[in-house]
Amino acid sequence: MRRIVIALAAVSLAAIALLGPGRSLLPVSTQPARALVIAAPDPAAATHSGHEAVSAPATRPAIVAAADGARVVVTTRSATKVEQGYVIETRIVSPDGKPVNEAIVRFYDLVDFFGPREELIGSARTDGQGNAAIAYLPASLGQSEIVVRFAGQGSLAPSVGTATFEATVAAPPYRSDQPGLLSFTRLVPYAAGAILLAVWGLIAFALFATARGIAVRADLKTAKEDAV
Amino acid sequence: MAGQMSRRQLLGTLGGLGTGVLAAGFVPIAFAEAEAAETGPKRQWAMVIDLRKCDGCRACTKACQETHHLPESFEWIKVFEVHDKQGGSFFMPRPCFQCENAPCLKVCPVAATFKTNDSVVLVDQDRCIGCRMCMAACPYGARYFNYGDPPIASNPFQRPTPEFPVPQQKGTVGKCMFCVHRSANGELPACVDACGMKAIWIGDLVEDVATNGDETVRLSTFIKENDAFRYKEELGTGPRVYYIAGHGQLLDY
Amino acid sequence: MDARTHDSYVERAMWPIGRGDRKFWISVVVLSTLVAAGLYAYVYQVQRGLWVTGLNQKVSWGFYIINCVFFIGISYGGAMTSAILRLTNAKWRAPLTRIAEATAVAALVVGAIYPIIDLGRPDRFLYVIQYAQVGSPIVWDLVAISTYMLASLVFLYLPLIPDLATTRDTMRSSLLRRMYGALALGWRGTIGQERTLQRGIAVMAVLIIPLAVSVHSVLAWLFAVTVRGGWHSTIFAPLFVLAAMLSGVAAVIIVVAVFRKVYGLQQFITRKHFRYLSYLLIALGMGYLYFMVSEYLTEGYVLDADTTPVLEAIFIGAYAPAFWSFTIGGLLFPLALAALPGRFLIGRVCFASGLVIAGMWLKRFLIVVPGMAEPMMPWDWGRYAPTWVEVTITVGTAAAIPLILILFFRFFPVMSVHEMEEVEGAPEPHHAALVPSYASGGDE
Repeated sequence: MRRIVIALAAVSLAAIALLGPGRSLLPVSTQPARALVIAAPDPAAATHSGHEAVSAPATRPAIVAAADGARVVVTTRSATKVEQGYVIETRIVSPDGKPVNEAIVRFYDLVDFFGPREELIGSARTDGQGNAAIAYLPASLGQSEIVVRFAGQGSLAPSVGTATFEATVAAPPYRSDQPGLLSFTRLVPYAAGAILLAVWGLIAFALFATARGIAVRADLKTAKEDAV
Repeated sequence: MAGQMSRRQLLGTLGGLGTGVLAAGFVPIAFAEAEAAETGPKRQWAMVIDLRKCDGCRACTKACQETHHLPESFEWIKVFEVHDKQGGSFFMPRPCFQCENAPCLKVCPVAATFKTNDSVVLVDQDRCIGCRMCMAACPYGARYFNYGDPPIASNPFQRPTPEFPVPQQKGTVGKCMFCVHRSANGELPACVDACGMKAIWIGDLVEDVATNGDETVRLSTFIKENDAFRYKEELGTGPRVYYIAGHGQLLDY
Repeated sequence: MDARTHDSYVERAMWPIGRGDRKFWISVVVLSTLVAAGLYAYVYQVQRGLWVTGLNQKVSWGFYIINCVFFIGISYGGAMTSAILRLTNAKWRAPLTRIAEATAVAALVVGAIYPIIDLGRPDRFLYVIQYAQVGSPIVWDLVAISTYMLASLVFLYLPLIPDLATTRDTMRSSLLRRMYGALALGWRGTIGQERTLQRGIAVMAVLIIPLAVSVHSVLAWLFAVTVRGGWHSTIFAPLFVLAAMLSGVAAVIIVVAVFRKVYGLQQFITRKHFRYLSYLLIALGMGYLYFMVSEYLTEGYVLDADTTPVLEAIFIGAYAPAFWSFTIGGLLFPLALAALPGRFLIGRVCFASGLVIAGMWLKRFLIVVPGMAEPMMPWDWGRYAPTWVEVTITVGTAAAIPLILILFFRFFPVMSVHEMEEVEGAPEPHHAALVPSYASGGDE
């Protein structure tokens, strides 16, 4: 009897150890929680582009001169509050040096998503000085390549300007909205397994102990013989 | 009587066993937790469907059926015609929502359906026993059962995998998997590609970007600016498909 | 109990053993044919695929799941009659327990194979053990049903041990004497053996009740852990358990009535037994009605978007005829019929039980099919109509239960002698030498 119980226990412990971990329970991917990531700005990369620069890593401005297109000058800088990300500024100047007013400009971030694509991150109209700016908090750290497209105006053909910068500030990473209770339920199978073991043990006891008891006590007196 | 265990001894042994089992159970949990915290996911797929643009042509359904060699009844992306209360109607394509808290995952008895690190719910048709519990559990009717023999795939050497379950297996369950077999090669999902109105956007919540093949937008901004919602969100399934309702259209049909 | 009654009791209990008369063989042949037809239909289904059923993409659960719940529900008769009546020390249970326990095992065996019949890949059935996911209600099902089956078998076997010894004594063939003797474990009726047996039976009686509750609760949770309108209800588990008890008692009534007639047990299974069984039936029926009212009141008062379509469908829609047939014809009318005083009690109670059983099947239908057919998305209601495959398999499995019982009582006593002695007291000592010589033994 004792041996049976010990054997049952060994088998079930082995079964639970094998089945317990692994892809069972709730196969979901867990997201590690990361806070907003902020790294110190790198002062070595600071250069200016002709705008009044506030601290922070500036960029290598690119100027594209199309034959009859306007010049699109793009610069980036950190926002006043570092955690707000970056400000991407652009200045549209016509070939004869005059700033272009009320120009429609669209800002894109170059991404590799099913091939290289330009992700629209904002749009604006230039003011009297031909300036337009948007705020941009990139989704991830690392190299960001900005493309600014001027839609064209009147005789000015559409043109484009680019800039790159190293993003050291990014938006908080995506957190899945899984309910917190889910992790608690992982414990339930083990509790259930223990109860199950107990039940099977009781059934085995009822059967084998009774059988054993009947076999062992066959030599004693019956109730009838006792009365007589 | 020798060798016969008394009741007290038995109960004591069982109690000790039970505690031991419970204690032993915590060890594997500890390991599993440590494993999960290592690397973050690289992608978390999502979709945005612009209901203002969908014209109900069902090109997405047909493209999906062709790509995966599906029988007629399998509409992994299904386009519903919804009659709203103002007397008009609009069209609503429904792929699998790849739910964050998916009911179908929880009820599968053999873990034939599982969620990848990219947050796509796949079905391993070599494991599926065809009990159809997942179909009962899905609130969106997104899972389909192969009652009969599926059409033969054109390539006879095609060995189906959960990412590209072609050909389908009889007696198992299949569903939309956001065409992860195509995105692995940098190709857009079949429905996104086929949509003539460019109403279906495939996106990544981690990189916060979405594209419909022509335009590319910042996913979070796109969702917020267009008041995108998720269907039957109150069920707590955490669907990954956002809908942009037509202006003035109510979805309370 | 005086010696003559005791002898008579033993004689009637053993009467079917080894008796191969014409009625027996005709019943066996007819039932076997039906079972074979069911088997043929299943093979047909496995060869071709589940498209031979009436299932479709919307209604993907149908007759098989209904039958699974139904037959396992019938198996509750054993737990009710044998275990609960034993624990409440109801003396009138004695002639009924063997029939009830055997019916329970037979119904359970039949009900437990239905999930396999329903599988799309039955060849992969063992995956549920190999790759078991403890979060899945199907795995809970497997565990609960197998544990309950084991417990039911043990609970059938233990009280059978003394009767096996008695049967062994009536056997003429030495081979049969040895076989029965082996199963009887050397039972002699000593004080020590009696005590051991009583303890074992008591443990099982106490254990089998929570096990029985767990089995039908788990079956209920198969539905209740989804978010479908008519299914996601907290009362489902108690509702199913009570429904199972009700259909179990009704089944026991019918089986007892049939065997009483066929084996001539009228002297020991009397009007009184049916009166008491009818009390059980009525009490359980009222309880089930209460649970139904509780559920429909809660849902119907609020009429939220999730549950309203199903409620409409069953109260005034496509499923209304089925629902009202069940409520009136399968619950209210039979309960009233059984409760009335007056003549033809046994006939009335049996007829009422038949209606209750049919009604319970209909109720399971009304739970499964509208729940699956309801529009989860902006589409129309689904439709489901069973094909000949599903109907044939249902008939075949239903026939399997009486077949198992008839074959079982060919080898084991139909009434529990030991239990009768337990409640009525052993007969006077001088009987001990008498072994009914007219008991047939060994002539097949």
